[in-house]
Amino acid sequence: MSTPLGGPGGHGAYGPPGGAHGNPAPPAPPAPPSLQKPGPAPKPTAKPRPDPGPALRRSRTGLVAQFVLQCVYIPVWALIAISLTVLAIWLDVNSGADVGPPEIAFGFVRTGISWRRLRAEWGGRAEDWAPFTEPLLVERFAKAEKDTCGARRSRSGPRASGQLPGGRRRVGVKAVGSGKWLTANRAGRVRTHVEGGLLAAAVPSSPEPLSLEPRLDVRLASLLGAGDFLPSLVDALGSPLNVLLPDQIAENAARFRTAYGTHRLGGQVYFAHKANRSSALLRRLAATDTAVDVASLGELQHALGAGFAPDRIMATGPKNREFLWLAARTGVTVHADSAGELDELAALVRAHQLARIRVLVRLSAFDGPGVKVLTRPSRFGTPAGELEPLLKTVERHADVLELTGVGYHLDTTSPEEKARALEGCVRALDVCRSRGLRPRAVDIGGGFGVNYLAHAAQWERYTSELTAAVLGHRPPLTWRGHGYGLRNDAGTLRGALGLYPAHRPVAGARYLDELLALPAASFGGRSLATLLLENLYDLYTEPGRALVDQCGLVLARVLEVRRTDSGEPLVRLAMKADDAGLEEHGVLMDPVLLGRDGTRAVAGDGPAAGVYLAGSLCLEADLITRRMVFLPRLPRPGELLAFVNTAGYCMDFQTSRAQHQPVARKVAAWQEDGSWRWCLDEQYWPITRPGGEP
Amino acid sequence: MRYESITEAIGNTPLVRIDPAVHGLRHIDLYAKLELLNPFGSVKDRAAWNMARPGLAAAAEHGSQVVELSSGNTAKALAVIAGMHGLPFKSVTNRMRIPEIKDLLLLLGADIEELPGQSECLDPTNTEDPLTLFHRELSEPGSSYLHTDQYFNPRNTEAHATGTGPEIVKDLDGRAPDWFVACVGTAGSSTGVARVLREHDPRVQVVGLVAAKSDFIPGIRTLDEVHEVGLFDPATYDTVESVTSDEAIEGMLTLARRCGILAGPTGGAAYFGTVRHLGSLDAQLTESQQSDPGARRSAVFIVCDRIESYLSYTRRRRPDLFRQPPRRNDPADLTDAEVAAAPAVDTPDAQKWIERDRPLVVDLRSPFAYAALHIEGAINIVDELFDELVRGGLPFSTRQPVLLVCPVGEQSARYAALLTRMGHPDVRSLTGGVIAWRDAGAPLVRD
Ligand SMILES: Cc1ncc(COP(=O)(O)O)c(C=O)c1O
Ligand SMILES: Cc1ncc(COP(=O)(O)O)c(C=O)c1O
Repeated sequence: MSTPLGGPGGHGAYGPPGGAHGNPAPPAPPAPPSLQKPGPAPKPTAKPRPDPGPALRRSRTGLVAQFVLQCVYIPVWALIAISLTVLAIWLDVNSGADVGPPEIAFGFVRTGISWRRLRAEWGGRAEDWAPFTEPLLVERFAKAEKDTCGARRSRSGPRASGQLPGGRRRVGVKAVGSGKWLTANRAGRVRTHVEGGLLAAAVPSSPEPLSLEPRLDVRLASLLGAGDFLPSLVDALGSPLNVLLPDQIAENAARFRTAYGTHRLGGQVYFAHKANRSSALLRRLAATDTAVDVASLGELQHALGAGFAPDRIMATGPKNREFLWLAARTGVTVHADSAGELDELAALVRAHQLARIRVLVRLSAFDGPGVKVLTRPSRFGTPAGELEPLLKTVERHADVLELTGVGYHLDTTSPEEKARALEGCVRALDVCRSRGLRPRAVDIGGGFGVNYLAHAAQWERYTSELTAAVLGHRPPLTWRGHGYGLRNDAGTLRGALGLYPAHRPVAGARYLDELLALPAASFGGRSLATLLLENLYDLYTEPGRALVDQCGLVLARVLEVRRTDSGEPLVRLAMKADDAGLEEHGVLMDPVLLGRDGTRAVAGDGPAAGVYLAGSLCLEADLITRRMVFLPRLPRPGELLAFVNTAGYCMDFQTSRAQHQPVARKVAAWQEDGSWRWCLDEQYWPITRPGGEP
Repeated sequence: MRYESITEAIGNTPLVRIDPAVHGLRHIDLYAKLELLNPFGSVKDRAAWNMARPGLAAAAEHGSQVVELSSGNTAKALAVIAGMHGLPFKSVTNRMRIPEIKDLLLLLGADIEELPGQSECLDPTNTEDPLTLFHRELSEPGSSYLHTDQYFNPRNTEAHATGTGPEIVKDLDGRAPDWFVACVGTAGSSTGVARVLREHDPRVQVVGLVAAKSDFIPGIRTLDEVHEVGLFDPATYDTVESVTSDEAIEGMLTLARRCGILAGPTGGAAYFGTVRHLGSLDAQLTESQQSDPGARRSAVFIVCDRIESYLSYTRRRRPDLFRQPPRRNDPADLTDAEVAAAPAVDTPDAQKWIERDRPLVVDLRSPFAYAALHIEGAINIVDELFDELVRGGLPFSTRQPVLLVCPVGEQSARYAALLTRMGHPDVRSLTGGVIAWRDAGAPLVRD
């Protein structure tokens, strides 16, 4: 029987509250077989058709008797028994009078069946329960039994605690359960034995909307409110579709400039092109005073073609000969990884009689006085301890290479780690100066971060609940109980949360500002900005993600809304997971739902809906995100989901042509005279006007 | 009292009654267990000593290093214990957020390693969190460490089950208190004490206190982090409640100013959490008291460590508590107009002026920057020092012309204005600072 003992709402345990799907979810329309992974085959409804022989031998009365017994008699009695039990418990809870059977009976009920019931109702798959072997559960319930009895003996009021699978005591302070359970508990009316026995029913049958609303600045918000502008774009250009906002990147760059200004620092902001392949963004940036950091031959060509003169281009990352040649030929600055690269570059310049070229060298593994700070090992750069041979190389090639600075890029969110590296660079530059070199810049790389979420409280609540889910204190919040790096090790949380810190109060230009204000511990505690300034050094930065913050979104059409066999609401989209790499980058954020007419769904439009999002590849793994996302209401086929603020690495960084599925087209959109305009990304120029007018 | 070794002085801390006039509870006696009086300064002395003791002899033989994940009191106690036994000690931490403790550890001879921050560009295939790496290093063949493992080591709990807990019962004349309140860091102290008290009287109510999420109280965990602790068993606590850092400081002030107990923030948190938890219960007790006036209740909370290490922590959160007297000759007093009117000279004129009148050139930048490149003949008085100097009065003769130099000419303008106000007739600021000087192609030297 699939109806659990818990009664109403027991099934579809993780659906939105209150039957958000209307009546039982519409049966899944038979999907085109080519797109559908064989999946769990429809359960055979009956035994395979019996062969005619034995069937004939059954008498008609026998069949009728069997039918009555199976379909009427047993179920009716079962129903009566259940109703009586529920009634007894209800009476006992609500009247406060001991009308029920003796408490011992409930004790028996709990130890006897409740863990099985939990197992049935929590609906997890067998794997989820693997750690909870029967002996373990029995033992824990026995212990709980003992504890609760202890509590009941005490005069001093009920304990605000209940027993959960896994033997964890629910503590009163944390409102993870249904509010009702908690208040009942606090008020102390519920008898302890009932708490234990009925907890399974008290666990909410669907998670409350644990939304993670994206942060929307004015421009993105306005785009999402632009009526049928976006739906008509998808109608014309297909799903998925990438929309970029070139004017936003110019604004972000100006903020970085302002941070430089606050600290009186000179230097250059190099946009890390790798974050997005868009031409529109690059061309718009070329029309400002910002520079660009290119990490491949293609990116260099793109930057030159977008209007960046070589003095505003820096080549970083691993480089092949062609990349180095074009860099040297055009005279861009080369940010070299190693002495070997300097040798190769110098040889190229000499062999082709090119002009002397400006180079920076990338350092890594900085050390400093005081406490040792461990840093993630990096494949890139030369350890700061090996500066000497590196500088020898620079000096050997003095005729063709001009050292203009040193730099680093650290993959960390920690400003202290970066501060230490910056101090290390200043020390390295001083060594350069003492050898007669005249470098003048410190390049502090990228990694200034983006704040993706609108509300800190949502992020905190979500991560707390995720922890609780991993520990088995609440129903899962993710596809198949995925823990994003966290594991439950016999009741202790292990592992590390492998997620981008999606709510970051300090990100982008403000992060730079605060970093520069940090004290340079090994230079007497003056700020890093002062350190640079006093030593007459320029500051180079290579922001990627931070510069394309709020610069674009990915649109996808809803193809199908259904429930999986295990009752999970699933929305299939006309896109692949790699078309919006949020999951790949560990960024958790809800998409925005747009109706067919482009109206943005808002809270209160209907019962909030928690759904999983699947792509259109025939891969089990083709999930846009393994997190259950929360929408203001259930989407309908034909509507659009907008994955906002995806321009940084989450748009075209790893998109593929798997299965001949289309790659998203890109359009650039901007506002003019109060209305939104667009053109294809490759046709955008900062002077583009509709109709070609000046 | 005479001891052979300082470690014998660990434990047997006093249990002190808090004046009811301070806490305001009418039917409950409130006692503080003064763990801050342990010789190395905190409750962790007991755990550190109990965890390290069995391994010390072997460690001394192999020359092992004592290691622990700690950014605070455990590290402090272990550093001392390791030092006493001639062993090196290393503390691995996420972030040393309390500068005083960091410096103290260095002073005690500890080695500190800070783990890297979170990755900015997530690599989902990388399952190696820094802690995993740490544990791998510990278990590498040939490595020789005495890892005390405070978050999982049952000897941590045991130190309190055999020490702190029984001491409380003894001091309460063989009775367990009705409530026991403790902050939860490794959960060692609360678990150990709770176990003993419950054995004595199962009715005792145990309250665990943690920091509010995204808040920081040094030494204890937040509501989420506490699940990462091996010794933490939710069944130990009847309730787990959270305290904010502001509340902890509030409690700390009450203990220090009104009770004479110089507790750190977690002691303050414990006091605050206890009074908050018991407040309403105390009110309810009124009725039952009338029928049985003799039955007073009692509660015990733990004061973990001392106030002295947390001055900068408190200053950052409550600058109002650190009032400074008004200062003389403060450049901050200058008006914008005064600064704008400060005498200044640009690079070409400055070069001529130096040539002609030989003013004293004062470079206000740091010694490091000055040593790297400076204007020939300049002397270096770093701005902080200069600031101190002018507070005492004019540091130059009024007959000596002065050219002030800073990076971009802002600071020098302020000081030129200040010195002018103080009566110096010929002090000038280099417009645009040393950067403008360089950009104008004027010479800079390095000695
Ligand atoms: C050398 C270098 N610079 C800059 C960046 C850009 O980093 P972000 O996008 O986090 O600012 C990267 C990113 O990988 C990088 O490797
Ligand atoms: C200052 C302070 N208070 C409280 C505690 C909590 O004690 P325990 O670790 O025994 O839970 C600690 C422990 O780290 C601490 O350092």
